[in-house]
Amino acid sequence: MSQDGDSSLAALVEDYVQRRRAGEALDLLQFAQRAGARSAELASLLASVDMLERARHGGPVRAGDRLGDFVVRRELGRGGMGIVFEAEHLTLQRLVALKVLDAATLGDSSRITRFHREARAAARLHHTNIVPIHGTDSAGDLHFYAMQLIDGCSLDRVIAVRRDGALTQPPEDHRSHPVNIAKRLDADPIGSAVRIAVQLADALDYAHRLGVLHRDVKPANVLLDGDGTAWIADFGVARLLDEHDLTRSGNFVGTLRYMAPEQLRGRGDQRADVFALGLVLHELLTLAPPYGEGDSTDLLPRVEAAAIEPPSARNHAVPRDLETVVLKALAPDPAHRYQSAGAFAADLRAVLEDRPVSARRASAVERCWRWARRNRLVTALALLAGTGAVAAAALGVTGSLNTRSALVLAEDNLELALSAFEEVFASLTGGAAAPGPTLDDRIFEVSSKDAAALQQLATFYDRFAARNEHDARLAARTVMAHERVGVIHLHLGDHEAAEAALRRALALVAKADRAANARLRVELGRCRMAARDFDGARRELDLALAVADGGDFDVLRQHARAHDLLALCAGGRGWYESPLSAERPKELATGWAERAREHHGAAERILADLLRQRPDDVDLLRARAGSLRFLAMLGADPTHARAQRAEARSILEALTQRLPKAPLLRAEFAAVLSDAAGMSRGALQPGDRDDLEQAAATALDLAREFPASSGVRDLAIEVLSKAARRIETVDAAAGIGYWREVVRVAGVDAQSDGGFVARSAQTRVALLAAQLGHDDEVAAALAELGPWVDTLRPEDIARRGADRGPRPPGPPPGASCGPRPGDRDLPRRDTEPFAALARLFEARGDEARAARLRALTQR
Amino acid sequence: MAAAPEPSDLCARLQAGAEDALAEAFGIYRPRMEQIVRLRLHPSLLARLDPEDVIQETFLAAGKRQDTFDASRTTTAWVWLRLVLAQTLTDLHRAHLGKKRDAGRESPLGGLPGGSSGSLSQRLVASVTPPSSAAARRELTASVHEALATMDEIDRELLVLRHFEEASNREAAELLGLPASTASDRYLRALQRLRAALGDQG
Repeated sequence: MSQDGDSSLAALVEDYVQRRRAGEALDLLQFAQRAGARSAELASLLASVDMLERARHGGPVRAGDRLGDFVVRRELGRGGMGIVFEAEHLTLQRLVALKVLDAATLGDSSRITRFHREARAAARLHHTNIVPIHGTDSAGDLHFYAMQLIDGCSLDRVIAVRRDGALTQPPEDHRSHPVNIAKRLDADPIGSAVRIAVQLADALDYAHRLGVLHRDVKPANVLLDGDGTAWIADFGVARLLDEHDLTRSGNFVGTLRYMAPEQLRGRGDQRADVFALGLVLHELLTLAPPYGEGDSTDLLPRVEAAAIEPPSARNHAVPRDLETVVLKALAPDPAHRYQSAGAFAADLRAVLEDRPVSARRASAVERCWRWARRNRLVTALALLAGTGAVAAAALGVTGSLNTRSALVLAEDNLELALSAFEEVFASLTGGAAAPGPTLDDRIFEVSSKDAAALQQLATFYDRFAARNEHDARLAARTVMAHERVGVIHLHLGDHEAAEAALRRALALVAKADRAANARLRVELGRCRMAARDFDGARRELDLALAVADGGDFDVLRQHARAHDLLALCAGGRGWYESPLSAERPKELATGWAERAREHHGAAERILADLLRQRPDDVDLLRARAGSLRFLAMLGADPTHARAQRAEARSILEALTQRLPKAPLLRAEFAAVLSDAAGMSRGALQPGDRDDLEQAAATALDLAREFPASSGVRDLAIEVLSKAARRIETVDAAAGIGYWREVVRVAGVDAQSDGGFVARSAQTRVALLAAQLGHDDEVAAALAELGPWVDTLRPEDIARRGADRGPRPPGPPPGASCGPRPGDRDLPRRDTEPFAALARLFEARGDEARAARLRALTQR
Repeated sequence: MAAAPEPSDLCARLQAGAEDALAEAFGIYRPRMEQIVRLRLHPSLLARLDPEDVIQETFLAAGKRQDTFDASRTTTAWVWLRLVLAQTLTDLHRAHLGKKRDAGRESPLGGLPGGSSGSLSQRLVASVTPPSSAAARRELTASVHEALATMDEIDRELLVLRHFEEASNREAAELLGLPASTASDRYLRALQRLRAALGDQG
């Protein structure tokens, strides 16, 4: 054979291969004609090529093939682990679905055995909502099981159609087409979702009682038929095939999406199935994957922490009861879920029938704390979710520390890992240098998901610091790591742990690093304040101020923070706990106002200076606005105060326009808006009213977005009370509306001193209702206020915003050291509302209470 | 699935030591590597190791060698990575199988081409015969196995590379250290031998 002839044959073979791979349908013999005289030879070569390509892609089964008792008719679909065919059962002359897997997928013989065993176990299940399995068999290298052919489609297709829209419209009478099924579901999205879940829960309960777990419940394994029946398929078998990949690599995204956290460790019982069903229901309600998008590096930490947002966040139509049920099924700890699918089904039925459900919500603080504590040691590197080059490649991370290579990688690429962590840290804590002294970490509780992530970060930094303390080259890094740990603990409310970490950092920090020294002292000051040790705090903050600045921006920034914090310390506990209030609490140290003024003034001057260097810096602007606001409220000169308040207001207004979504900015803006307007006396000006209404609206928005935050609630109560108090003077109808909101917002948390704030506001509601002639409302309010009046004591009315005595041991973490509701309420020494209330009771003939109130107000 | 061409600056960036270049390369070639690992790992290793572990080891190894990467010596980053993978596979087999390994069956490109003895043949045969005729298949498998076993190792590798790893002729030639035209010729000859072994089937 000539050299040229060979190379032209080679070229033809090459061409054939490329075209086939590109998907072109080629006729072998026809193509071979291109070789002219050597076409037979070429044909023979191409036949080999065909065989190799086919072997490559697997797919040994074609229509007409005979497998055991079955004849394959056509392919119905492909899953991650096998192909489903429609086949005819020869003996029984019926059509079935055949799920075929080849030996290569199954792996070794022990798994093949298990496969058949699982299929046989599943064949025992006979339930309306479980796809019946007829039997299992094998033919040569192929293993398969036969199941009932369902005229329907899988739930994941239906969800995709509902979410993305349909590409074509099938005929109306094709009942089991995904588009038609989707339409029927859309007609009643919530009800249909619950009904599907009930069927599936019943099916799971039945199977569990027979000792069969599914272990891989997900929309792809659920079928919906044309009559509205839901079916679960592939009991036991689905997990078998994924298991091998799962416990090692976590790379199996499709299944990761529907896992319960304990399954990551290979542990799971019937409650894991309950969890997975919860995820399916969640997705039916939101039409989005519950763990969110992303690849395995993103998903793994979320699955680990069971970080799932409530369905109502995406779909406001989800009723509260249903959401409670869903969240219970999705509790990260199996002990807190429904203990059986049957219990889940029962509550779902209760939702459908409008009966009360058995599920109760854990308070957000509780959840948050539990998760911060029950930290699982997911390799900290799992948090490198998509950040930096490292995550993209090597880390198909697993849930255990067995990822030796990942840790080695971290050591090899320290800088890379650390910088990736810095990104995560910054995003979780809002930046390394917490800005103002008043709001930030105290007003917004850390979400449970963030708490878990922060705890893991702290663990990483801790281990890093411990490992590297003796390595001089890494000294700066170690200091930073300890500092990070400290800030994280402060964020999580554990000021003791925070202090320990910060002191370690201080012990290691180089004297020459002035910025770090100053910063650490300031953070320690915050710790001392969290512990209510204001003298200790002052010591630390003075030490911070003692660090020479030498014009260094960072040091000066810390000085400004120190001054603002010292101002808070000047007022002691009373002031510290009510920073939002423009009204001065009673029990404060003498001369505190002057000291506070001095410090705020010093801070403001430093910040103004720094702003000359960086005029657009959000952090500086915010801090300055805060200082101005406090100067205004402490100032002796009203004109000056007005100017300062106006400047603070315009800064915050500009900032909220720049960053409309930043909650802290909105909160401070609402506070400053209500400051001026709330303090005005005399007739309410239209401008003031607008401000109050805007502030109230912002506060209500924040309360809705952060329902778990006590700080936000306090802000809302403060702002709404001011708005109500002022607006009622010109518009009783509007005023009563605001008082009602105060009742609603404050009443939510009854654990605070019997709901004094709510009751006081309710009193105002009653009074205004009487004024407006809403007799029903008056009667209703009095009915609720009555029992409360019975429990009132003189000190309740006399005491305003003062200290309630020693704090209970251990702050509820997450709530940090925020102000508690009830510590501030109605204007001081104003017993008039109670006297008026007495008159209302009297008018209703309730002498006893009227007398009681009158007695209480004789002061 | 046909492989998309690699970004033209990838080699240059790798040589320049850009960290994200290696990560990007892994991002692109990871699925291919996974298939190759599954194909070539000794079955007793497959039970113990996850392909993901192997890929991570390969990443580490590649990272350590990145500064010796020479863009002028290789046409694509893939060829370089493939060689690193080959070394990793070989090292793993050595480490985990120790004396039990049958070094004679191992491929210069790492592990066993086609996995356990005969499974490549099984695959090939399975693709042509209807599954029910078990006896015929056994016979055929033996025949194919014989053809593959007596083939020159390089030739067998060419088949595996070209079809199971979807390497182009040039890549296969580079990986095996052959001139391109030689690789092409030998590939054709291997195809013919395979055809002969299959007789009238397929």
